[in-house]
Amino acid sequence: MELKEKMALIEEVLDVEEGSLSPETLLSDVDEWDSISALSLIVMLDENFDRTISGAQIKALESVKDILAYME
Amino acid sequence: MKLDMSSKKYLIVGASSGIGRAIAIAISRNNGQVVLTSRNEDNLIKTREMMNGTNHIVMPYDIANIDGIKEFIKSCMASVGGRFDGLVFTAGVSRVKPIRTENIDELRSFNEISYLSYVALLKQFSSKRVFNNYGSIVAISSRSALFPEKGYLGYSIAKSAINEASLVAAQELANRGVRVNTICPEMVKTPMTKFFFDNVSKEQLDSFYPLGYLEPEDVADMALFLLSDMSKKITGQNFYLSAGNTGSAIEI
Repeated sequence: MELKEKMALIEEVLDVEEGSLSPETLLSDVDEWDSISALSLIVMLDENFDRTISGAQIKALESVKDILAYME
Repeated sequence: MKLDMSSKKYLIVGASSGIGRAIAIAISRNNGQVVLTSRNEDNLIKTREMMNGTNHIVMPYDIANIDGIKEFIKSCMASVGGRFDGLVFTAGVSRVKPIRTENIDELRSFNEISYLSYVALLKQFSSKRVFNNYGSIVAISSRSALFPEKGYLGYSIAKSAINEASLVAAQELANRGVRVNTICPEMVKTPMTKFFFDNVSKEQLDSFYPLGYLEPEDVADMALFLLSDMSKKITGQNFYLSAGNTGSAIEI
């Protein structure tokens, strides 16, 4: 999957405007990064990449780039 | 003016008659702009003719077509040039079937119209891309969700599902001020309840409904309150619109 598509998936998970995030964006700067987004991220990684992510791993996420690392 | 809905946009699913029509008219009288949808284009146009204002849009659509809902909502937004501030779900068909006559296949498609379509709409309206902060969602459920009766298994299940879905949606959307509530009315005099009102006696009606039986406008009054800022701190509630009944059996 291309980076553009992956970014679009992340933007959907966080329910932010299309194109408003970059890999460098810090999650602490995104108001929408909350418990619902975390749950949505778990679903997205499972359905699109067959990856699981634990609660501890979610807590450790700091930037959009960290999320992209799971999207292989 | 807390009831002023100027510059606000509403989608009403089931606007061609009965409760949906009454709500559309009520919103228009408070200056809101409405996108009206249902399967019946002629009746949607009739609803629009009864409304105040000239900027309301008729968008016929079969809400049981779940796969197309995302695109449908996009075209509704394009038609009004923006995101919505309110969603009213009044789609529904009556269904009375004793369990021993139940048809499971039919029940599956009944669920698509009655309940899954609502979930598909909630999915779209849970996004900021479709629905503004501080928006309000009102689903018309039924006394059947609270006081289910013989013959109403399919109907009661679908309405209960709408109630539960609304409670969850209320929690998930609260942090951006979006509210989700349902109205569970007693029998309302609409085309859908023709059999009941044609066959019930005046004595029975008076005894079921001490406050007088419900008209669509009575439900619209409550819907308007829930859509407006007057109820801005109310969410996750299933309101029993009782007309004085206390959940006793409505048998004719």
